[in-house]
Amino acid sequence: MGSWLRKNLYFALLWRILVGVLPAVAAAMLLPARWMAVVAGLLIALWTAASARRLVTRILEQIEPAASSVADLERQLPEAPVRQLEPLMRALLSSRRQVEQQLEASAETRRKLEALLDSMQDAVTSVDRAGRIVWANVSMQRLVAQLSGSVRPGYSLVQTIRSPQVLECVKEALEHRSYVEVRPAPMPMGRTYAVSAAPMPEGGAVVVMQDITQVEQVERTQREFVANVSHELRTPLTSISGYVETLLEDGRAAPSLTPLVREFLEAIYKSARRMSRLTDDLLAMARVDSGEQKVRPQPVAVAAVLREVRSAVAGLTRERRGVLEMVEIPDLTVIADMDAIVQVFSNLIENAFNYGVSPGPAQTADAAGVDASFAGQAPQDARVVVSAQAEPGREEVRFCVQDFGPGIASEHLDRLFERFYRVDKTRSRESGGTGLGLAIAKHLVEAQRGRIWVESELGRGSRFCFTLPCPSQMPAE
Amino acid sequence: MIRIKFQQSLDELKERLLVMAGLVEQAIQRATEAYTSRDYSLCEQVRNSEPAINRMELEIDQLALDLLAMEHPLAVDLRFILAVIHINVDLERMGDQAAGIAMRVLDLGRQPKVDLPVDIPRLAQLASAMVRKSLQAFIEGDADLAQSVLMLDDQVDEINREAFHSLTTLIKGQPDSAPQALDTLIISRNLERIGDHATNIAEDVIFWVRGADVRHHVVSV
Repeated sequence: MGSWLRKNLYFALLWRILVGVLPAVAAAMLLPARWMAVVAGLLIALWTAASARRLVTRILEQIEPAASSVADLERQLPEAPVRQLEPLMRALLSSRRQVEQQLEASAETRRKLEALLDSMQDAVTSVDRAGRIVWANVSMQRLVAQLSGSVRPGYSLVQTIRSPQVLECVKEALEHRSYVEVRPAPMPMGRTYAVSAAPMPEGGAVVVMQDITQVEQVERTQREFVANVSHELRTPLTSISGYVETLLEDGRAAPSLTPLVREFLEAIYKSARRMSRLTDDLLAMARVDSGEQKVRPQPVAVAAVLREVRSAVAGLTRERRGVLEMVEIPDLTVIADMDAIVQVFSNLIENAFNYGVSPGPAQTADAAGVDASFAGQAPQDARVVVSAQAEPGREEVRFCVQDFGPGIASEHLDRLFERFYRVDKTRSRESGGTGLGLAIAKHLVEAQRGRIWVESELGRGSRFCFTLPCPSQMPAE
Repeated sequence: MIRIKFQQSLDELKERLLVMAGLVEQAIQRATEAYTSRDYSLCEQVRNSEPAINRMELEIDQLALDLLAMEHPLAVDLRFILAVIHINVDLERMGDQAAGIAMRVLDLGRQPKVDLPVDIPRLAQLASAMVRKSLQAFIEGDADLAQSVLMLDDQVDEINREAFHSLTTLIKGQPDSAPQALDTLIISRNLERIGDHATNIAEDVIFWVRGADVRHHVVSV
């Protein structure tokens, strides 16, 4: 900046000399008597110009270091060389104080943020848009040190963490500029983490890793416990049900059953069947949790699915003396695992028969017979409608199971698919529900890339719907 | 400009090798966890990771050969590329060893459970630590850290020898348990081989950094 000013001043002085002095020289040529005076004037003009140039240069040389040291807080600002420059120096000093304050505020914010992040139990690191580590908190440094490594700022993330799940999570967040979560992400030394990566506005991403080793361990133990207990319970239950059923159905085995004994046996049979259903559901849930139940979706016709469903729930419909209607069956194909989808329908239809009808008077064993007795309050004319139709605007088919019962209050709708959640505990016990049917249905639908939800209105009934993708949505292998 | 591009290519080579190393480390971890927890779904995951490891081996080899052919590297750069080519092979073999462990664990699952006098988790822990340390030495170009990996190999060999002795004795005394003992013996051998490959990686790092060939306990500069 200084040299540019200096150069322009030289040009200004030269221009003045040419404009002011050359006409005087020309006049002197015409008038020789005044020639000496002209030369003297010329010399004075040159001396004045040189003095002025020296003065301006000196001032500029004084300003230059002052201007350049405004942002350099380590250096003192020099004194003003001439009185006229004092306002300029004051302005520079004021700018410098503002810069100092802003830098201090920025450093303070950074210190607070770092202290906050360092106090977190979760390991946090940030990467730039090229995936290089910018910063890592103390937990991250500790985690990497446990793995015989060290955090390497300025280098690619893979030089610090090699877990394929973590790298994939960060790569996806950087490429798609979206929040990505991976759980569980196994790490060396038997640790398990939940990893999330969130994109930052100016590019790059923040990665948070939460140690969930203990949580996973507890969940695994719970799942194993439930699976083992259910398995152990099933064997004696089968014997109990079998013997009681024989006693009740075959008069030859117990020809002289008194009404009281028959009543007690029916009570035993009813409870055993209920426990059997509960253990079946618990085992199904355990299979789903452990990944043992594999879902293998493939193209199947909607009509074929519904035919299979009708056949699978025929016994249940008869048992509940219900009416199962199937309407709007489109000529479409969906991507579904037939076994899984039949299980989803069975759970939804059983749910509709259990809760989707107004409770009627309890039936006596004599009236309902053995098969119907465990249904508890089996109502008259329980009607369930199953429908299927193409979802408008989406390449999906929507299946619905509708009942015409009392409906469900809106406060329950969000929690209906949770395990063991019951709207009416007393009624659930009476109807023999386990509280797992809808949770299993939700898991199976989502495993087939579908969605499940419920619509209900008090006094008008409920509609459980789920979607399944059409073949054009099938992911390429 | 050409030099910067070459340096970027070397960085890319290193990063790709580390991505592959991550897959291999996870395969080893899953295979050994499958042994301890008898979680057979982990065995399937180990086998599923093999194609990705093999594909990465080919890609890294191609990139390394391209750099050799086009850039004519010298001195430390040449040694780095040669080390990467060797480490690439070692990592792929480690992946094969992990798949071997997974297969043996599946086989063990088909047989009655027998208590065997072998500390496989300890062996797996040591072998994994060797892999981690040798890779860290590669990341940091730390020849001293690489040297420490060579010491650990003796411990792994010792545990493997003990396992061999205990299991052969058991087979003589309890022939009914021979299938389980043989499976466990092979797992022990797989882990010992993983330790050997980690040692090879450490030796490659020493060669890259110091220019010294320390294979077969012979030092030549």
